[in-house]
Amino acid sequence: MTGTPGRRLRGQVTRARVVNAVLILALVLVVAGSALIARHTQGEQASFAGTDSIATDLIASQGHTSWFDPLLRPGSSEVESGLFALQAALGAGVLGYCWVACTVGGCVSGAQARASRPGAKSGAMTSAWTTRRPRPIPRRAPTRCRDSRTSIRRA
Amino acid sequence: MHIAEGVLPPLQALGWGLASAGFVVHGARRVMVLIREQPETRLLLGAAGAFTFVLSAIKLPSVTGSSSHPTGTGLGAVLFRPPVMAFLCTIVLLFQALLLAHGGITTLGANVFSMGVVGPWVGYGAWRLLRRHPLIAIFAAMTLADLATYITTSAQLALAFPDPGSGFVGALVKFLSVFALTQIPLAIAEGILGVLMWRVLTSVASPELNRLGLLREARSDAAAGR
Repeated sequence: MTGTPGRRLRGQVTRARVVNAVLILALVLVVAGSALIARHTQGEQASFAGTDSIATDLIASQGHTSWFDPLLRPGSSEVESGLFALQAALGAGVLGYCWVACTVGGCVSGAQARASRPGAKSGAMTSAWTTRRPRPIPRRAPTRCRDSRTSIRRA
Repeated sequence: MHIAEGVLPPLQALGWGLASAGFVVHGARRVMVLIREQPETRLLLGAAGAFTFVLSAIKLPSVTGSSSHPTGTGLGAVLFRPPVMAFLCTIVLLFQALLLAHGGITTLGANVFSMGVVGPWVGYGAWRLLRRHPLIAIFAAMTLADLATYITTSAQLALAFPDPGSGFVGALVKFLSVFALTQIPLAIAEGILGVLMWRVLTSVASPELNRLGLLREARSDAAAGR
């Protein structure tokens, strides 16, 4: 196990990690900060109702009525928030799958991946994962065997 | 930005539906071509769709005391060009309209137009203008795609329900005060998330970004600007 630069970085404070941490912190601050500002300026009046429903209520208050009802309406707000959570979970699941697949196996299949990665930074573990794809295995395996056989014969 | 079911007058609903249909069909064709000619970008395409799927489900509180959700369409528009997002957004909006009673079938056209057409195109425009600095460009693309979507929704509602006294402009101001102000901090948050996503993508998927021509384009713009 010689070339595994990914391991060496584990636990180390790198510039990229500091930047990412700062960005995540900024993200949390913007969202939490704006909620706190609303609480501070409006007190209990800040109900955090959805803008979509506020606009709908505004239109209804002008005397306009809806002419078509949703085909399916979640029975309660609990069911509705559950379905929203399901949507987020489905999306996050796919996103996570893509991330892991790209990190571990490389998004580009087989030989193209290795050709387009000039430094071949990925090391032994990554190539083992990419060879899961059908083509490279038969090509790589025989060369390895032949090498070992010749080395045995030479020995 | 979801205009509720049955809110828009039938003629306008139909008009927005027709306006969006062309973009969606074109987008669906682009997705087919992309999958056939560059199958290696499928994972990234799935990620872009999933990103929008997640973000449009998350309602966050904002400074106005109301809450709203980001759209996440800027990232996909930058990666795959805006037409692809018209198709992906239609899937997201259909899911929400059919299962969550959020948005609607009759207002699908109007919602696709704001979230899947105007937002992505504005975001892509911002990317094209600023891409010699990719991180600034992706921030602007995500933020402006989000804001543009909500501004479009406000305009659509103002067009349908002009104020009795002050007409379209009065109604636009009223709807913008509901949507746009609330959206500003969320759009900024989305921009920051976009920068994070870009950093992740350039570290795990730079071959794909190269294949899509993004890194090369950014570099050549930077070289031309020097």
